[in-house]
Formats: sequence, C-alpha cells, structure tokens
Amino acid sequence: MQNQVPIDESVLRLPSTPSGQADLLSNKCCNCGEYIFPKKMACPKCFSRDVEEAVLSREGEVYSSTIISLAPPLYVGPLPYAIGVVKSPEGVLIPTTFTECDLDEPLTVGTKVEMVTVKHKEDGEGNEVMIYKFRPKKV
Amino acid sequence: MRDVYIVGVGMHRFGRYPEKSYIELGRVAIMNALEDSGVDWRDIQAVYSGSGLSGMGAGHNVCAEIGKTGIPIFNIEQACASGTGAFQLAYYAVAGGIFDLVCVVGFEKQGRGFIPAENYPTWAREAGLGVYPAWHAQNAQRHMMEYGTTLEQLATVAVRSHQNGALCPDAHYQDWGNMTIEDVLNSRMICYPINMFMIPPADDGGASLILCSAEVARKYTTSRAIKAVTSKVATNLYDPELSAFGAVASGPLETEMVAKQAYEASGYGPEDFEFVECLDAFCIDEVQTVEALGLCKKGEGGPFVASKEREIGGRLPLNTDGGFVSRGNAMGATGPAGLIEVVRQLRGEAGARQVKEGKAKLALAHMIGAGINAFATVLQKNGP
Repeated sequence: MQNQVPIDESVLRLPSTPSGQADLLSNKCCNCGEYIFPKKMACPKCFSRDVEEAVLSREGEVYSSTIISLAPPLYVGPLPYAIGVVKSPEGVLIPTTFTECDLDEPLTVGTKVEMVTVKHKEDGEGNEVMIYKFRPKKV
Repeated sequence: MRDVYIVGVGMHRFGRYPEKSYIELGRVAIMNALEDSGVDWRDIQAVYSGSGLSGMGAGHNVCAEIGKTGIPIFNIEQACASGTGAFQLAYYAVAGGIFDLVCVVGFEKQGRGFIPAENYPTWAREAGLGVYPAWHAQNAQRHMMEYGTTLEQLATVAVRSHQNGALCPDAHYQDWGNMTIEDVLNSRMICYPINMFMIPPADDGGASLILCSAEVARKYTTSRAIKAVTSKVATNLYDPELSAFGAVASGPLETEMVAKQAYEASGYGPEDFEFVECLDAFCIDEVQTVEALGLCKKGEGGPFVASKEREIGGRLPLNTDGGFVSRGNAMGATGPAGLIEVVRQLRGEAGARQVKEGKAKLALAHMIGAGINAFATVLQKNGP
C-alpha cells in the first residue's frame, strides 16, 4: 500500500492505524478559549501567545458555499468543484472543498456535513498526498 | 500638517496589452500626469509606486525610462490597493513637510483568469481554496439569505458600470453600454451565483497623480488643483463571522473602521459626499461597501446600489468611470484610477460622465486590497 502524507502537517494529521480517523488541526487559545483555524502563533481574539493544538470536530454545518467552474493557478483537482465554509461546533469557520455533492447548485446554508480524507495527488516520491474535505452527512 | 493638493493626473487606459510591459504602462501614466500638470520630471522630489505583482525594483524601472534623478523611490504592495497605499504615503509626506512635490504611480500587468492568490498558503491554493471570486460569491449568498438582496440588484451594478465605462476613455470596456440585466444573469456562471459579467477583468494599466503643497500648487494651477483632505487605511480586524480566507477578500469591518477615521479626520460624513468611488469588484462588494461606509443602513445595500440615484444623473452617483467591472482592475493602478476619476469630476473635466453639472465640491474615494487593506480618502474642490 502507498504511503500517505497530509497536504500540510499543521492542518491535517493522518491516522496512525488503518482503522483510525484523521484529525483536522487547530490551535486553541488557553487564555480565552477561542479556536484558531488555520493555526496561528497568537490568538487573533485576545492576542495571547499561549495557544495549544486542538483537534476540531469532524462534523459541522455549511456556513456558505459556491461552485467554481474555472481552474485557479496551482489548483490540482476536478472541474467544476464545490468549495465553501463549514461552521464547526467549536465556532470555527473552516474553508474547505466539498465532495459527494451536487455540482449544479451550491449546498444550502445549514446543511449538516462530515469530514472525510481523500487523496489530493501523488507527490514526487510516490506518496499519496491527503487532504480534508467535507461531504453532506448521510441521513 | 500642511494642506495637500493634486495638480496633475494621467492614465494608461486599462485593457489587455500583451506587447507592453508594466514599465511602459507606468511610464505612460506618469508622462500623462506630468503633461496634465505642467510639472517637469526634474522637479519631482520623490516617487511612490504601487504594484501588487511587478516584483523587485518595479517603480525604479519605470522611473528609469523617464530619467534617473537619484530621488527616493518607494515600492508599495497592497494588492488591489497598492496604488492607493502609494497615494496615502505620498499624501503624508507632503502633509508632513517632508517633500513639496511628489509623483504617485500605480501599474500592473496581469494574465487572463483568476488573479493568483499569493497571500494564501500553498496548500490552500493547491486545494482550490485560493479563489477570490469564490469568497465574494459566498458573501453574496449570505447577503441574499440574510437581507433579501437579489441577483437583479447585483446585475444592475454591472449594467450601470458598463453604461459609465462606455463614456470613459480610460475604461477597458467602452462598447457594452447597452448591456441588460438579462445579459448579465444569462452570462456564464463562474462562482455561483456570480456570473461572468459581474466579474472584473484582470487588466493591464497605469495611473498617476502629482501631489504637492499649496504653495507649490499655486505655481501650476489654482482652478484645477484638488485638495486631498485626508487619507486613512485600516487592516485586518478579527471577525469571527468571516473565515480566514473570506476575511482577506471582503473587508466590511475594515471599511467601517477606516470610514469612521476618515470622517473624524475630515469633519465630513456620509451625508456630505456628492458622489463616491468605491470597491465594486464582484458587484456584491458595492452592496457591502455602501453599507459599511454608512451611505445606507446595513441590509439595504441591494436596493441602494440598484437605485437610479446611483447613476451619473442621480443624487449620489457611484463609480462613474465604470468601476472594477467596466473601467477594469489593473491591481496597482486601480486605486489611483478611482482617485483620478474623483479629481476629474471635481475639476468639471469628466466629459459625458460629468456629475452635478460640474459643481460638486466633495467626494469620497474608497478602495480595498487583499491583505486586507481598506482605504478611505476625502477629496475636495477648495483652493489652494
């Protein structure tokens, strides 16, 4: 089986066992409790530098969404594709691409979604580069 | 602080010029501003140059094509507000008595398609998250959901932009004055619900202004000198209601903050301005901007921008040069282009686009560049 690596180590931690789940990584401010995604060295709300890593919930709801029909510079992936923002239970707004969804109209605001990890591309060393996406939660 | 005046303006028309480098675009703009003002290049004491993508030494390369005089040349990057940043620093330098006569220039050279989101992390760009229009599209989705703003209202911005651009010799698009709302809504979907005709072109272009003290202005012109009353900028504020990437694109919070600063510094408020140049990038931006500037209440931006009072003959015209969609967006030149339109209008030199029968005295110029940078400048026909 191919080795898997995350698209960015500060964003995604892949499971250490085949049956495990990936972690979407954020920082949490030890001073005011705010969650920070993507990670920052200081809390954007209270400016405290006392922040620690926190794993975000794997479920959330659509805060906003759209569908893109042209490829932007550096993009690797299918066209058209769905992108948007997921609001996590921690209150974080997570920019993401969506998968397993309609590509004619964007997801409705409020749709329940869950995180999955999918292959983004292969890197120069034969590894599978993995990325997080969100998909509508199966009812 | 001294009074600061604009005595010359000049542009290189926005559009697509594959045969021209950014150097030529900037050079032409400066030469036109010098001719407009009657100022000799050798009397310029400093140059403030704005460009988002032109790289090291861009302003220096442009100035070298006009003549090397050893003067300070500063290169400023603030994305689509790079040229406005150059303007503001020039304004402060003259106001603070550092220089008496300076040149501001903005220019850009861009390819077709999406502007590279260079301020996003690489992983996000590879994932397809680095798409500025997508964040504006989502702002539109939520504004429509929260306030009932309609696609027809957004399309009206594009229609009005092209009506105005058709009357502006420096605008990219001058042949689309007959565009209809249906044309806009039927155009190719790019980032739902934003259609192709709501999206500004990524342009090549240049724009330049000559700034000076009141005493120097009187040597060149009194009737055509326009006063820069104040210029302010605000950058990123924490907004838990905007995702990290959405915040970089839109900036209503930052616009509110900078408007407040400009209003306090100038003593003028939203009810005083006779016309306004402001961010209208994907049409939804004009909606959010007029709300954040206090020109109308939050949530009422849709009907406000769609009103006939926003047209050239209306009570409070907006973006009479055609704004982002029609005049175009040549990043570093875009902010100065808006400032130049205000100057031309206040001078009574806007030709077929002239508002208020040439009698307007006070206007506001607003611009946003990714970063985020929100600028507000108050301009007045008053003196020197």
